[in-house]
Amino acid sequence: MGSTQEEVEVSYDVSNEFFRLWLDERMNYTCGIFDGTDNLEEAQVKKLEWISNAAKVTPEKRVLDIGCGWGANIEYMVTTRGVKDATGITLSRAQAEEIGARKLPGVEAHVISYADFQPEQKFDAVTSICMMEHISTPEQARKGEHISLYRDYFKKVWEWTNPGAHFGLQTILRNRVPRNRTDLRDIGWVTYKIFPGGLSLRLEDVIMAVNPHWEVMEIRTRREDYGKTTGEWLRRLRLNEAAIREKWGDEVFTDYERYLDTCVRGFDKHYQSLAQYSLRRID
Amino acid sequence: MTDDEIIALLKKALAEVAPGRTADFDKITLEATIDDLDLDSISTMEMVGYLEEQVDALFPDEELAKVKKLADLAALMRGSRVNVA
Ligand SMILES: C[S@@+](CC[C@H](N)C(=O)[O-])C[C@H]1O[C@@H](n2cnc3c(N)ncnc32)[C@H](O)[C@@H]1O
Repeated sequence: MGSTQEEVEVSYDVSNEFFRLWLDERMNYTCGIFDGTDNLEEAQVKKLEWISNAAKVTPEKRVLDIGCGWGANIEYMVTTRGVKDATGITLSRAQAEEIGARKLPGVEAHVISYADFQPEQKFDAVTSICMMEHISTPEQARKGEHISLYRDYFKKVWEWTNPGAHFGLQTILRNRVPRNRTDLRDIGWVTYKIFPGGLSLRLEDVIMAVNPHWEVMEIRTRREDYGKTTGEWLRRLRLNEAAIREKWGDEVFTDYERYLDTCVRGFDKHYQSLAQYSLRRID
Repeated sequence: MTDDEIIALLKKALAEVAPGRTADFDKITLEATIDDLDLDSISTMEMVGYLEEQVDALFPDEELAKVKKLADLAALMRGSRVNVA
């Protein structure tokens, strides 16, 4: 189901040093919130703040971050929100190593799929920033299996949580299929080459799949913010062109340039958007 | 729009996305299916884009997904919905 571990590692295990060159300092690989700022580092902190608020994270809660990347969100929750007990899961071994290297107190990171995860103790708050894109492959969606896969995910998170839990969620949305050859080709290429096995969601998919386990309390879309985020990643990637070509080869540079340029266009032309959600467990 | 106007527009769209195949589309009717056109998926979406431009409208993706015959596309071009039998 969804992206396999090999596919996830295609997306995230190019090299931690490579991603460090063009992401923000904490390595958020997801959309920031540019309210009142043009600075990527600040925009990422605003995003993390929104998600923690949506999940009602407080210091005494036991928190789970699903698809935790290189640990930016966990680090924020522990250092800024005072969380003392945080668990992250990711399918990427390189990401888990990076989290270990950050030596954060009270933090555990596991290389495991949400599909196999069986925590011994329940959680009081959950966050998940752009992981759901790995749950259904385009082929599964064409067969009409995606809603059940998403619902199964929401059911699992329900089972791992205590009554009263909130869930701060973020997902990329696919809004509209392009009508021109270049954009269709580029989006298809990103889907299969950069994020194999992945597929962004439609807003109505999420609305259908949360039932009967979670109640949608808040939804906010952030299309323009993701355009700015990917635009800034592209700018930083290009600033490091020579170093990237030298260390990881020409193909890595040209592939990532094409991918990020496609994202900027995709958000600008409404092919893609982004949504943030606050969900409450239906007890 | 009359059926004839729609067919004329469809032929123009097809000439645009599949140049060199005009003979194939010469006798096309609204009863033909999208599959009958034998276009790849990219060319099909390009044809839709061309038609949207010509009738100055945007067709919802969910309606497009229901299109089987050219008559369904004609319904969208006329501003109505696709009827699924
Ligand atoms: C786009 S990254 C986002 C990372 C992080 N949340 C952030 O904001 O930077 C998606 C993450 O989902 C993880 N992932 C993909 N499939 C998964 C699965 N089946 N179970 C758990 N994590 C998964 C990847 O390993 C990666 O860490």
